[in-house]
Amino acid sequence: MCVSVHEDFTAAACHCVTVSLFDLSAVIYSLWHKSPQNVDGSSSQIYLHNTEERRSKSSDKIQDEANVIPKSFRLVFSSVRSAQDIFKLILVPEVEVEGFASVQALLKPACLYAAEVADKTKTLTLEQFEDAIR
Amino acid sequence: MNLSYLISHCGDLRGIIIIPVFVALFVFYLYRFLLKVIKLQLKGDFEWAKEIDWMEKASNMPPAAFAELFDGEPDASRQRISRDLKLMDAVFAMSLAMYKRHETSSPWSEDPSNPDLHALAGAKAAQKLFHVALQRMCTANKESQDYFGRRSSRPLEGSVENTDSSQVLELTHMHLDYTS
Repeated sequence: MCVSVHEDFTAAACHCVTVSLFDLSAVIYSLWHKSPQNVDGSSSQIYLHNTEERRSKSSDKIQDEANVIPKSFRLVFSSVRSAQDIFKLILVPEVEVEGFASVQALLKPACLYAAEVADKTKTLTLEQFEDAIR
Repeated sequence: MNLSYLISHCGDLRGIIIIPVFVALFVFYLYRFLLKVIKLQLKGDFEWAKEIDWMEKASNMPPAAFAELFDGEPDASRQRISRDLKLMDAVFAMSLAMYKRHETSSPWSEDPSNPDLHALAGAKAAQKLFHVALQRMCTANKESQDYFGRRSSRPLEGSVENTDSSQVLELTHMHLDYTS
């Protein structure tokens, strides 16, 4: 996963900086505390979006799987809100961490099953499904 | 056992389903998965007896009575997480998957002329468990209920269908076939 940050929220041609997932929390922390401002000093509300651009696929992954399960997203902070692309930033109490992990663990087999079974051109093997459920 | 070889030569999931042992395994994994989803939506450490034959119960019990087997106090936090992380959408897509694969032949129809009538019996019974899972994600949670009502199901990548359709309409369409 990588993140692109629009450094100048008022510029038409925004300069993007790509950072690693490990820097995401730092980026958010930085933006949160610096209160990003426009050139005239006014504040902007920014949104974390999915740009639908994907990073190059890992060469060791089969093509079919890469099409079914998104392995990475390119994220962008933008001043323009796009409802269908927006990501929510959720503060997570410790008690909910386990819930997140449990739900995430179920997502992969759910997506795999839904995509493979619905598509007549594909086959879902028991091995794939069993592996995904584990 | 290398099932991939066999299945790849079947070319269609119906190829698996006519072989009872594969059906049983496939349904076993599917049911185990859905029980995990349901358990996640309930407070407390829920465990159901391992000897329960869920497929038999789903096949023979009316939907409401079947759903009562999974009554419990909803966990609003995990319902929200399931909604926000799109597990609800994924489970809904799962519930439609088998139907979409066989849509032209109305696979849930009880009509004796339906070629999938017996082959898809396990998958048809699993629909009740899918619906229980979706119910439990929405039980006593208006936000999740509203979210589900607003959602459209997207056509799959590469699908011949080009338009989104309401999830509620998709369910209605499938139920009409289910009860025909």
